[in-house]
Formats: sequence, structure tokens, C-alpha cells
Amino acid sequence: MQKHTPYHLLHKKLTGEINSAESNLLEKLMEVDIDAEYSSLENELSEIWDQSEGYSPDVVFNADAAFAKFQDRIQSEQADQSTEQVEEKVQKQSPEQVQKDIKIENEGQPAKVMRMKPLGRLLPLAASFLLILLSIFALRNYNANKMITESSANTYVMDDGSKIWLNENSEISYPKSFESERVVELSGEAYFQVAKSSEPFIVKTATGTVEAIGTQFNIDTDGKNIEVGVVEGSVEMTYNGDSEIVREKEKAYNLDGKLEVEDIASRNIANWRKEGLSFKSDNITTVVKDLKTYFGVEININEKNVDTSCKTISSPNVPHSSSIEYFFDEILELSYEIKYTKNKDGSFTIDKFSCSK
Amino acid sequence: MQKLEDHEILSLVHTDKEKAINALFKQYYNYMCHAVYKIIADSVTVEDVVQEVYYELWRKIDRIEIQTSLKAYLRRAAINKALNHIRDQKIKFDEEEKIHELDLVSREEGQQNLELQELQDVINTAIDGLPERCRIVFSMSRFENMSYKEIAQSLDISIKTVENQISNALKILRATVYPYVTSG
Repeated sequence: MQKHTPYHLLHKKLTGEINSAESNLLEKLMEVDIDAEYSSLENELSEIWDQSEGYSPDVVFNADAAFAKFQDRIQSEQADQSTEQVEEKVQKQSPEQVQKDIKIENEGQPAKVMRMKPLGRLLPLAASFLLILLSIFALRNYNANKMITESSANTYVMDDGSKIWLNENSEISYPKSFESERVVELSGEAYFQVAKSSEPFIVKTATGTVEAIGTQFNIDTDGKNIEVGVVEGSVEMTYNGDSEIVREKEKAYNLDGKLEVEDIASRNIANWRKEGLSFKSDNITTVVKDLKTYFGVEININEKNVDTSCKTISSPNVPHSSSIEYFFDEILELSYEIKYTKNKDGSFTIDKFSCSK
Repeated sequence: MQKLEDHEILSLVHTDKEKAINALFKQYYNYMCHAVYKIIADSVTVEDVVQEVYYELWRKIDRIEIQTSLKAYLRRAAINKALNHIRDQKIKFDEEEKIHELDLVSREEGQQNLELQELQDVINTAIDGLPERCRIVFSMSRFENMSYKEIAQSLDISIKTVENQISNALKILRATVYPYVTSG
């Protein structure tokens, strides 16, 4: 007996494949569960379905290069064919005749050879130009204690282990070392993951100052206004003589010369950081290593029950502010079999893992 | 070079075949590659597959009669080649998968309705991240409008397996997207 879940039937409905018996069944299934989840499931999936039509992977293909490749293939085939023809002729003809024939054959070929040359000359030129460009770039960065981003965001790790995600068109200045003090200057937007230390971490902006010890937060400032969102821990924010403590899941911003604080969902903080967590083609040992770094938790593997031989582990991107449990339960659990426990000290143990369900 | 109509290309085949194929490359190469990429997400393989399609077309274009538009014909040929490739790769689809009911988690308060463009980006990324089997079957259903039966036949798997893969794809897409979609 086939088990029909809403997903199967909803898909059929979305593609128009559904028959009336299945349609009735779907209606009943949706009714039965009064829980808010199922009733909005249809809306969500419809939205996903509609948007998926616009799915356009970020790849570029070069038609001209491909055509050149096609031409090479055709020409080398034709060359093979005509060599065969010449060989046939040779057996029937005198030597002088053969010489003449070969000359004519070659005259048809030049186009292919010449096409290679100009590119060959350009290549070393391009390479040296790139090298010069790179060295200028490297020199500039070495002299200044600054990090500037233009059209794309970048992530940096400081010498105390703190991480800074710098958004587009932003600038941050920092001292040579964080040993004596941890003070940076920011203009634009950045997300900070501050390593725990007895030394407070201070971010100065043209508008206000944020001081933190061992937290994760986002600062967005354009010189006149400032907004700070805290994901983990707490920070002290100073603006215009006014000072506020901003805690987890709170954001603070300036309004009419004063600081306002309100609640905010963590996933809405710094969601400009598009890179999330995703894996392709790694085995579970590599994945666990990345998870440990990413979430900052200890993860143990129960070697006996964990299948480390799977070659491909794939997961979609998850937003930054997800928890590791969300990742295990909602993402990995869908395609793989995973059982884990959260230990008293906050670490995790993977009790069981297998590649196929 | 101006865009050539189908009949112009087909008559060009008899006078300057190479020019005709060149036009076909310029006009449809990208299109075909993108269609195939939705199924085989490896650009090197994609380009190899599409090269083969052009090569075969080169060999038989003076003989065949194309009923549909050139664009549709090329797309179909490319997809078929891609499916053959998948079948030859013997990618294991037929492992019976348990239908796993998603444990739906209660949502956080204060959700925001995402701008349409942002939702598009989220879904693009989500589709990219689907496990290979899921993505192949989902793409065939979504982008090639193939019925469960057609997909099953093309890949030489059971309809049940197709259903399971679609179901998993939807669950995974939903799980990835759910933090961004409001209820109701």
C-alpha cells in the first residue's frame, strides 16, 4: 500500500499531474492536521515552486570557445580522412605526382596553425601584467593597517582568533597586534565574532563606540547613523553620551539623538553574510571538522557506528545564525541517518551516521 | 552577427555548413548548457555533452527533418544526451528510501517577508545544494516537465523511487527556505 504524504501529492498538484482521487486525499490530509504547519505548507511550497522557475545557476559558458573546439575536432577528422586519401593515391601514382598532391593538401591547412600563434604571444604578456598588479596590491596592503572592501564582502581572522566579516564598500583599521589592546575603527558594515579575552574588544565608528567581551554582533554605520545587532553575548554601546547594554537577540540604533533597543530574531542579524554552511563531496570526518570550527563546539564521533566511508555528503546552505542542532535535525537528517546526543558540557557526540537512508 | 531564423540556418546548411553550425553555437550554446546544467551540475561534463550534440547534428543535419523549432530540438537532444550520461554513470537511484516525516519545528516570532529577489536567491542556492539524486529528479520534473512515469523510464528506476526523490527534494527545499517564508 503506497503511503501518500502531503509532499508527494503537493508536487503532483503543482505540476498538474494530480488526479481527482489524489486531490481528494490531499484535501483530507490538509484538513486532518489543524496544526498551523500543514495549513501553510501548501502556500510555502507553491511559493518555492513558483520561484524555482527562475532558478538560474551562476555559471558562464563560452559559445565562441566551444565553437573553436568543435572546429578543431572537425578539421582533425577531415585531416585524417584526407591522409587516407593521399595514401591510396600514392600506391597508384609516380613520385612527382605525389609531391604535387602533398603541396596542395598543405595549402588548405594554414588557417589552423596561425590561429594558435597570436594567443601564444599574448599569454606570457598577460601573466606578467597580472603579476605586477598582484605585487602592487600586496604592497599596499602590507603597509596599511587597513582592510577595505569594494564590490564584495570578505572575511578576516585576527591574531587573537577574532573573526571579522566585512561587507561591501566598508573599511576597517586595526593595530599591528591585538596584544596590548583590541581597538578597531569601522566605517560601513561588519560582523564580529570576538574571541574571549581579558582585553575588551572595542569598535570605534564616526557615530558611536561598541565594546564587547567574547560575543558575536553586527555593526552597521554610515557615519551618521549606527545600528548594532547582537547574536551572542552582550555589548556596551555608547552614543552621544548615552550608553546601553545590548544583549542577545537585541538590536540598538540611534533615533533622534538617543539610543533605542529592541528585540530582533537572530537570523535577521547580518543576513548579508550569504555564505552559510554547505558541503559537497566530503566524508563525515571532514564535515565534522568544519562543523567544529564553524559552530565552535566539540564534536565526538562514535567510531563503531559511524560510516566514514561515504564519499559524498551534500547539504544546502543554511543561514549563519542556525544552531548545530538545526543543522543535524533539519538538514542532515533529511538525506542521511544521524543520531546524536548533546552532552552536559555542551559538546556533541555523533552516535550513529550512515550515508543512505 | 545578426540572429538567424530557423529557415535561414537550414538553407545555410547546404551552402556553408560551418557557418550554419557557428550560428547555432552563437544562438543556442548557452541555452543548452544551462538546461543541461540543471540536471548535471558539472560544467565540464555539461560542455562535453553539448559538444556531442553539435557534433551529431553536424553529421546528420543535411539528412534529418526537424519538426519543432531548432531551439526545442536542440534542447531535447541535449537533455536526452544528459540522461543517457546519467544512466551510463550508473548513479544509484534505486535504493528504496524510507519516507521520512519532517519534524516540524515551531517558528520564531517576528518573521519578515523576504523580498522576492532575495527569495529567488535563497531558492537558487537551495536547489544547488540538493543531494545529487534529488536534484536530478527534481530538475527533470520542474524544468523538463516530465511526468513521474517519464522520469522513471528515462532513468530506469521505479515510479516509487521518483516519488521519494521528489518528496525529499521538497522537504529539503522547504527546510532551507522556511526561516525566510512567513506563514499564511
